[in-house]
Parts: sequence; C-alpha cells; structure tokens
Amino acid sequence: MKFGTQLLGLGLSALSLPWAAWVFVGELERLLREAQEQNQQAIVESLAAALSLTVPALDAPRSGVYVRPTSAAPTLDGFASEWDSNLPAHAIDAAGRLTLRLQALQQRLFLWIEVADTTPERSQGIANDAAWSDHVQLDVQSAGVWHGFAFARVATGPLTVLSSDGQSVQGAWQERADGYALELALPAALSPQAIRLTAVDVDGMQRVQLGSGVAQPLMLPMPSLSQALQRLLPEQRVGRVFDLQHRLLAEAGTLPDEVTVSPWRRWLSETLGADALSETLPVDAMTGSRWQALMQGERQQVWRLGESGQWLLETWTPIRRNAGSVVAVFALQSSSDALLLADRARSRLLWITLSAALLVAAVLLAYSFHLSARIRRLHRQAELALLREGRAESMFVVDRRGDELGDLSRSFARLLQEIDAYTHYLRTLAGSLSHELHTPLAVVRSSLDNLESQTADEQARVWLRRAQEGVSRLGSLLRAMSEATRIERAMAAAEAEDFDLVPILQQCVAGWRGLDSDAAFNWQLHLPARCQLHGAPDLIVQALEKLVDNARSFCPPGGRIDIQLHADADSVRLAVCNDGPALPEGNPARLFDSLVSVRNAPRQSGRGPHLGLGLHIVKLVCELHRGHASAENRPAGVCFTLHLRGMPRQR
Amino acid sequence: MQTWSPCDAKLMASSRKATIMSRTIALVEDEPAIRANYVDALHRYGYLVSAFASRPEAQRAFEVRLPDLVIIDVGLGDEPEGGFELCRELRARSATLPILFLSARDEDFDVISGLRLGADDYLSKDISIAQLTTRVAALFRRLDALRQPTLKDTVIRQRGMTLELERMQVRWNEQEVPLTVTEFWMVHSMARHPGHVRSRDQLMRDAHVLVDDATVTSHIKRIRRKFLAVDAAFDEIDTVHGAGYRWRA
Repeated sequence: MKFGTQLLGLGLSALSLPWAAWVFVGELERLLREAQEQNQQAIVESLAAALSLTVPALDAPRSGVYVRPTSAAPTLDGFASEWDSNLPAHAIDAAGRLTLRLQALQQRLFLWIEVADTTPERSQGIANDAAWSDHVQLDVQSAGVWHGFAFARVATGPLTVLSSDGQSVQGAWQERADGYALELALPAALSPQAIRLTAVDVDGMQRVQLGSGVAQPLMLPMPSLSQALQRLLPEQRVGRVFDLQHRLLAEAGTLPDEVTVSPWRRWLSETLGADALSETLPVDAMTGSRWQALMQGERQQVWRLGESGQWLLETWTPIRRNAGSVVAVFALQSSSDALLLADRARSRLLWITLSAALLVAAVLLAYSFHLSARIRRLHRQAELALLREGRAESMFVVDRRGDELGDLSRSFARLLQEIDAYTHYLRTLAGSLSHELHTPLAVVRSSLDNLESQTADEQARVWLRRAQEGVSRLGSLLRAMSEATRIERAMAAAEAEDFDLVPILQQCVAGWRGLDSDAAFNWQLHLPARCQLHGAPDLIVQALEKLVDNARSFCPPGGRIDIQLHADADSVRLAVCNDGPALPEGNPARLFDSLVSVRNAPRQSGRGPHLGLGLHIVKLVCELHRGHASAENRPAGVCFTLHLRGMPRQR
Repeated sequence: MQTWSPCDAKLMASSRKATIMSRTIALVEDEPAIRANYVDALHRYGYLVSAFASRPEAQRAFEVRLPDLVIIDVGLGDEPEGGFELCRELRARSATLPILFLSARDEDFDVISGLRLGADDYLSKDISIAQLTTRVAALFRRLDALRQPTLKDTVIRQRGMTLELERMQVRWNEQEVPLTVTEFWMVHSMARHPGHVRSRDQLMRDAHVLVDDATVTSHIKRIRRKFLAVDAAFDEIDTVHGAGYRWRA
C-alpha cells in the first residue's frame, strides 16, 4: 500500500468524530427524555387527582350513542373511509343487523347506518312506495318534535330525502353483498335529542322489521369538563379525558406549533434506528392490551411523532373515584422542548463535527500528498543520482527542512557524495596507478637492459629474457590502464564532423577480416545504404574496435560475428553480436563501468589483458554522442549495442 | 677464435666510444635509480654523460658549457614542470641543440606542451634503453648531416614530399615540416611503401616506441596538422579504419 493511501485511511478515521458526537447527543437525549417523563408523570398524577375531585359530571350515567367529534366533514359517498374505525358501532337490534355510528362536526350530525339484508326489494321510484320495498325509517326528535325520513332501497348513489314538514337530509346509498350502507348528514338547524331508527326488509308480501330502536346521541365532549380541565392544565399541553369506552369526554389546551423535526433528521434516525424515534407509536396506540392495563389502573406512557412533526409525550392515567374504581382516563400530551433542543444540538453537532472531520481529513490528505511528494522526489533523485553514478552531484537537491525527511535527504546527499568520491576514485585509479607505476617500472626495465648488456651467461640471459617479458607485460597493462583516461581527454578535445558511418564500417570489417588470417570467424555485416552522423568517427571506430576485440576473444572458432547498423530518424544503433557464451545474470549496465569485468573467458594468446576498461571506453564514446551502450543476451550469443544520437552541434 | 665474455663486451664498448668521438649528453632526472641506469647505459654506448638531479644544478653546469644533447625529465623533484622550464631556457640559447623529454607523464597535454617548447621528441619512461639509444644516435646523425650539407643522403621523393633520411628532414613543396623524431619515423614508415597500409603496431615498431593505439592516433593527428600548417590542401595520409594508415600512392 502506498504511503498516500495509508495516510488517506488515517484521515478517514477522523470521520469517527461525528459518530461519537451522535452517540453522545443520543445519550443526552435519553436522559432529557427520562427527566421529562418523570416530570410529566407527576403533573398527570396531580391533575388526575384534581379532576376526580372537581368534576362530578364524571359520575353521571351516560347512555345513548356516542358522537365522536370530528375535524372534517366526511364525504357523503356511502363509503366509510373517512370514518374513524375505532368509533364503536351502536347496534340497534340485538342481532346486530342494524348498526349506527355517529359523529359530529360542530352541531351537524353525521350518521353511518349499516343494514344486513341479502334479499333486495327495490323501490320502483313511485312516490310513497317506500313501504313496499326495503327501506330505513329515520325519525329525529328536535325541540320535542319528531321529523320522519324514509329511505327506500333504490340503487347505489346520492340521495336527498325530505320530511313531511320540509326538513331535508342528504346522503348516499351504497349497495353491498350482505346488505347496504347509508351515510347521512342532518342539517345543522336540526339539533337532535333522540333518533329512532327502523330498518324493514320486504320480501314479496312479507315485511320483516330488522331492527328498531331509539338512540340518544351524546354530543361530547362535555363543555363543563373541558372548562374545568382548561383551568387546571399547565400551558402548552393538551389534556384529554376519556370515559371507560375510550370516548373523548373533554379536551383542552394547545401544543406549541413551531416545533418540528426536519425530514432529513427523521430519515436519518429511521435509517440509523438508534434512538427514541423507533419507539414512537401511532395515534391509536392506546388500545388493546394497553387499554386493558389502563383499566386495571396502570399508567401508560408513549412517545409519538405528532401530525405536524412534533415530538409528543403522552401519559395516560386512570381517574379513580375515592381511590377506588376507575371512572375515567386522563391523557396529557406535551411536546418535548428538551428533546427538540437535543435534536437541534445533535443536528448542529453533527454538522460541525462532520465538517471538522472532513476538514481534518482534507488537511491530512493534503499533508499526505505533500509528504509522499517529498518522499517521491527523494526517491526519484536517489534513483537519478544512482543512474548517473553520482557524476552530476549537483543533480541532487538537498532538502533543507529540519525534519526527519530533511535528515534523510541530507544523509542521502552525503551517501551519494561518498559514492561519487569513490566512483571518481575508481575511475581515476587506473590512470593514476599507471602513472605512479611508470617510474619504478622504468627503473626495473633500465636495470634489466643494463644487466643484459653486461651478461654473457646463457642461463642468466634466459632469466633476463623472462624478466623482460614480464616487464613488458606489466608495461602493456599500465598502458591499457591509462588508455581510458587518455581517451577521456581525447574526447574532451574531440571535434565533431558530419560523416557517413557505412563506408567506415565497411572499411573496418574489411580490415578485421584481413587481420583474421586463418578465417577463424564468420563475419556478417548488415548495413543500410547510408547513415549520416555528426560525431567523431575515430572515437566511434575505437569503441567498435573494443567491442570487436571483445567479440573475438569470446566467439568460438568458426562462430559468427554480426555487425548490424540501424538508422532511425534521430538515432543510430550499432550492434556487435557474437556466438560467445551468455552474459551472467545481473545488471548488464555495470559491465560498462570502469574496472568491471565479468568474463571468465579463456585467455587467448596474444591478446591484451582484460581490465574491464574496454567497455568503459565504449560507454564514454556513446555518452559523448548523447547515447548509451547496452548489452543483452540473444538466443545464441551476446549483443553489445551502441546507441548514438550524434554530438551536439557547435555554434 | 673469439669467445664472448663480459670482458669482451667492455672492450667492444670502449672501441665504440673511440669511434663516436665522445659526444656529451646531459641527463636531468630526479629519480636516482633511473638516472644511474641511464648513465651506465649511455656510457656503455660511448657517450660522455653528465647527470643532474635538479634544474638549478643542471643550469649551473649548462652556463659553463652546453652539452651535445640533453635528456630531461619533466617533473624534477619539487618542480612538477621544471623540465619544461629548463627546455625553454636551453632552446633560447641554442636553436639546434637536440632535446629529448623523458617522462612518466605521457598524456597528450604534456606531450604537446613539451613539443611546443621546441623539444625534438617526447618519450614515455617505459621506453627501453635500446629504443632510447636509437633515438640518441639518430639525433646525432642528423646533427652531423646538417653540419655537412654536401653529404649524400638517402632521399625519398613522393609527390610534394621530400624525405631526407640522414638529416631526418621532411619538406612539403620545398617547405620544411618540423617533425619530431618519432613523427619522422612514422612518416618514413608510411612513405617508404606508398599505398600500403601500415598498422598501428608497425608504426610503433618503426618509430621505436611502445604506446597504446590512442597515442598512435594522436601522433598521426599531429603529423597531419603539421603538414596542413604548411599546405592547407594536404591530404596524403589515409585512415584505413580497422587496419591503420597509409601514404597515398
């Protein structure tokens, strides 16, 4: 893994900060919620006690059909979709074939009548023939007067029925598989005290009364109870009193309405599912087992999300008469300021920590890029310096900063300096060594020469000759050692000219063939028609001679020596290949360094010593021509290639 | 019947001494072993040798009398270029005095510096005594030849070039080309067989030197340059890449 990636991961770990903040605020919220729950329980208990004492109305018997107050008028379409499904249906007859449900918008009464009658007998639409078809008779007592309405079974659809004294009722008839439903709206002027409802099933000549009964609509809530509640209730809370049938008796108070939970926040908590919101209950939660528990005197507390997006805490508690039986249920609803504050704090904290974490991550990222760029630069420079064998030490730009990377860079610079000095020492070693050895060699040589002229002893002459041979070998060694230095000097003074390499190569190969008197090698020459180059032909020929010398000493007798010239647009490749043994594994570029020799070649008689200077000279010549030298193994043998681009033109 | 013995060798040397009329050679060399060896060798060949270890010592002696030939080492004791200095002074006093440089420093730069000061040759110290004495003898022979203008000389004429073997003189279009002994021998080697390629090894042998190929190349370069200085159109020496050099037929 790259350094940058590692640091990127490190930077991303800063994102755990918002998570920690989220958890912290969640914990805070839980504590606040508990505090509020306890507070609310205390209020609720005291209010319930006060209500049981101050409201005698709770004791009054309440019979009749409960009218649920509604906030919107239901559409008169014969469907019960707008009706509260929790509203209990009042059965008019014992068999439950005729049921009634009531609800009121202010003073206007809405009725929902369901009749089970599977044998339809429809009215023919003639006046007053309701009596001869299935029908519902509704009598409404208002101000002591009864108003009668008859609804004959005609067909599904809206209807308007007039009473004999001109009152009108609007509604809708809905046929069903098991009977029919009737949705009606009484006029607001008609404030009913009692309702008499009769359903008749006509089958041919037979009339069956499905049910008939009088119902007294209980218009709740009770205003007196509401007023009492209003007086007792603390601000910004809603209190409700229900009877034992979960019917609303009184309601007072309002909730502050500006508190909302933002949609994204709701989404986030729903997605994360890690806080109180997951415990919220729907509006009609206080049913079933919870209601049962309430009836047995247990307090209930729920959190829920209000219609307008508020946090609501609802506490339900039974109201007891004289610490005895439960007579009613009191529910207190409050929106949670603390919770809201916590929520806002959480949102803000989330944003702040998130931005801070992103900032930290960005800073870390930028820093990591900076750092890895420095390391990369150091790496590149080190590579470059090694490639150039430290010859251009100014290439290495030392990092002046005082940190560890700066130290490393300085260490590198020192190391490269050392290497440079060492390389320089090695490069000049041969030259200076040969220079230093010249004088003692001259002493030995002149002494031997003198001795030779004075000695006539045959045996002594043999030894002398051997000594002289040794000295002359030493001399040629020294000359070879200083040759690299000499060629380097010669190159500094070399003058470039434009020339064609092709005839020169032809001449060279002809010469070498001529020298190769016993035709030991198979010379091959591959040349283009012409090859213009700007450079020093003498030096190129010298380099080539080194390669050919090399090839001759490695190539087995009868082997091929290939000389190939390829000319590109701006460069020339001159390869000398032979069938000799492959180069050993390792860095082929090292071959061209001074005093490096990898050969285990059989010493060929008459050839000069191998000091690893020949290929060094080749490399120097290539570099003079802005190129380089390379060596590689080919399927059978070795190839040394000069890559030349020509010397830079003066002027 | 004569048999060889050390005694005979001494006799031979003394008899040779008599024939050469005791020429005087000054050897300025700071390395005592080399100095002694060369003195011995030159003595053997019949020369009167006076050896000096430093420049001031040699100068004092030269003020009294100039020798017939001087062999100078370039680096003298603590004077790395003392030999050059000495050469300059000697050349100022005598235009014809043969001067030979003998040095461990055989780089082109030193060679050129030495020859510019008017030395007749510049030799590396790994030369053998035989090669050295050949040169010395050649230089004396030339001196003699110059003193006797009427001497019959072996002359090689080749187009614009006249090569007098005894005087070791080369003229191009009747203008003298100032060649060193080594250079003269190389030109002679090529011009003797015009059209034939002389390899570097052959040139070295003919010039009585033992140097590397790069040095032969720079010798040839210098020879060309000297001819070109006389005649800008000179183009008689061919480079035969991979083989050597030849004088155009």
